[in-house]
Amino acid sequence: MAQLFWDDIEVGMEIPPYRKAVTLMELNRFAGANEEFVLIHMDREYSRNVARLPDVIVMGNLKYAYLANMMTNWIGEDGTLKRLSAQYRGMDIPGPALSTEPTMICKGRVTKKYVQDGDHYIECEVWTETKEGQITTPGSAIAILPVKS
Amino acid sequence: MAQESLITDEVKAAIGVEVVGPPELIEMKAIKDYARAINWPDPPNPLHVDEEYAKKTRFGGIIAPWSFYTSLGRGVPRQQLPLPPARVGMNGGNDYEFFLPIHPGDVITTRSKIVDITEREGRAGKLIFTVSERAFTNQNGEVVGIARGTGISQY
Repeated sequence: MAQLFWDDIEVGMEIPPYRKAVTLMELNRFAGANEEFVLIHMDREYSRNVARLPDVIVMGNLKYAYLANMMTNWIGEDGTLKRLSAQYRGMDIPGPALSTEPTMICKGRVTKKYVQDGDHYIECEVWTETKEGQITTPGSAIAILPVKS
Repeated sequence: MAQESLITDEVKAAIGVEVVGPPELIEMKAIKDYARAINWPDPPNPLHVDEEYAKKTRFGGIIAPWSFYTSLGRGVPRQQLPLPPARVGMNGGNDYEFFLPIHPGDVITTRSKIVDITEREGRAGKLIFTVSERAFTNQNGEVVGIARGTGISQY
């Protein structure tokens, strides 16, 4: 993938969207990898009847990882993610087993570019949307990008 | 009728108390499993799973994805707040700063503390918002990242 350079960034520029078809397979794999075994992410009966949620919901930490993937895919290997924040305001429900239709989409745009202590920074607003277009996870990101020599 | 607050003086006394976890060895397999899980079913970035590839990058070898930091210190003891058990707990938000990459074989120590606790009346009952902070230090004494998180407990 081509490297992104700070020189080519304009405020308002959109980050290439990152789409995911999230099912219980993704939730279970992530539960293991992140040591996050919580019933509202695992058990439909518990989620509905005890936690009173509409269904099992996608972990905030997995949505966070997808936002980080969107950022690192875009800024490339010579870009460095310095900060990422996300607020879990809405619920994301996993799609049916084996489905490849995206259930969520990560998006973002550049809000600022500046130089500080010799490093070339960008700031972005980032968020996740459901397939219906509802923003469930607003956030922000800060990264350092290389400059063309 | 205002109900009694769950945030007692005992709960307030827990704010700011630092808990230091036992050092955790970060194994190569943990990094690879994590990288596969956050990309599944797509292949992960080779920087996190392919040592030959990663050697040729500026990192000199495999590094953990930045979001791997959410998995740090999960098994280590945290401060137990003197609160009744919640009906359901949720993650309200993450705000992480990344200072240095984590390599396989690093030994990470997590220092955690609660920085704020607030209470709100939700539609279905009381909500407690707990803001915590975790600082991650490697075997060289370098702080590799700081995690701030908000937990929401529903009563």
